Amino acid sequence: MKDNSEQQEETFKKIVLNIYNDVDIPDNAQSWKKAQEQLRKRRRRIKWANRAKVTSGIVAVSLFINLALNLNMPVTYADFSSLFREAKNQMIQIFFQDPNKNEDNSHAKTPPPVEGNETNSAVPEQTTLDDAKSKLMFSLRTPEYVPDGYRLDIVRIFREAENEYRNAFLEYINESGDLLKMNQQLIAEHSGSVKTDIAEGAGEIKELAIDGAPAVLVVIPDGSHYLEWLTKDMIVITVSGKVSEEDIIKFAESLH
Amino acid sequence: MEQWFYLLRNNIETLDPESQEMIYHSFRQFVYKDIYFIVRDHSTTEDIIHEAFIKVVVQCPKAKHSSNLQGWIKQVTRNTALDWLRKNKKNRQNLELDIVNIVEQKEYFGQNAIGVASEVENKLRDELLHQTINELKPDYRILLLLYYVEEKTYSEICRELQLSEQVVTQRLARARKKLLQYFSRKWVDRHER
Repeated sequence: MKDNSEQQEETFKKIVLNIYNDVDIPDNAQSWKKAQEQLRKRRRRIKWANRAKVTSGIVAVSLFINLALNLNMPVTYADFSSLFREAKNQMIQIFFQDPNKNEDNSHAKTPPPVEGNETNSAVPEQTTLDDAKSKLMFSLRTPEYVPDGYRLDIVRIFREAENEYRNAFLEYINESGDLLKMNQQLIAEHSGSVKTDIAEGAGEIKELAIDGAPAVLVVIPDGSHYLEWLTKDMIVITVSGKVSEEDIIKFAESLH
Repeated sequence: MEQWFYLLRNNIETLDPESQEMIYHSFRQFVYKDIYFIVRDHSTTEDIIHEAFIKVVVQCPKAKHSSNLQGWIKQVTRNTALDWLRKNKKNRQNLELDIVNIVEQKEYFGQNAIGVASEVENKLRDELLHQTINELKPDYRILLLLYYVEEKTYSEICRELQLSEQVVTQRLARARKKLLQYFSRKWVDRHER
């Protein structure tokens, strides 16, 4: 025979279960719509978070590169601000600027007019690797390792004022038409302003080292990778293409 | 295990809209009574379900809980309800007052039905039980849910609510006592009218 407390327990359980089972779940067509809206908000938050991550990563690298170039904190901070503003305009840009070029010591309230594109005017010339090596103002690096199936397709150099060549572009292609692009640009005094654009929402940012120099790797969701670093002899190298992370790093590390 | 549990293992963004909707409705059906039992308000229940749904779809593909996915989902949802109660402690009193008002209105409009037949009396008893549970604190309601509906042991309840066994034992005893007190009072009041 059950004692009193057992009976009481059974009664309690019955009561609670009755209350629980009596809960009517209302039909609510709006419920899924609200849930969808929350999923959309979450997607937007992730997109913005990724964008912020990319921005902060690039800002960090840009800051470092600027420090390496300038060793001048106020100027570096100014570049940092301009980079942020550009990022808001749906484009992330890395600036490598000659600090003296933009420095205005006049204290004039009206800023001087923006310079034209003269400093950027460079004439592209398609050429051979040997010709490029002979003309460039720096020692062009070529890879000892190229990902499977890729071959060098295009070599382009850019003639600037006074017939100086500070920029080289190498394009590798495979049978499917996938490209692996490399740009090498000498950053030297009075070289003017140079910037690199990265499309918004680019991808995951990773920091690594190439040949002892800090580098930034952007892992783009479509499987592409973008790698950029500044060498000790002041050459900004960028490599990008639809190759694996391992391949792009191996390619970069094999440059000599 | 039902299909939607398997689908939850995927990133929801990769699923087609029909599957997403099916997962949501199954999830809502699965947890609704638990949440309503704790918060006793349909609109709040919906809000908590939305919040818990996002947590579950985000965490599920990452989590290693193959053995007891259902238990995990219910726990995440209950925790979301508890967090909501903690965050809305100030507003909770108003909500509880609203519920009492609704209950009182129901009592008033229900008077004509009293004494008509014994089945009406059963309905009345059930209604009183619901009113009684509404008057219990949410802290007591969650204990009753875990102990009597989920049939969890004391130690499992302690782990989930992060309370000592002594607190759980005392609170459960108080919950039973209050439930009995409120119900007896309502039952006697009703029959003395």
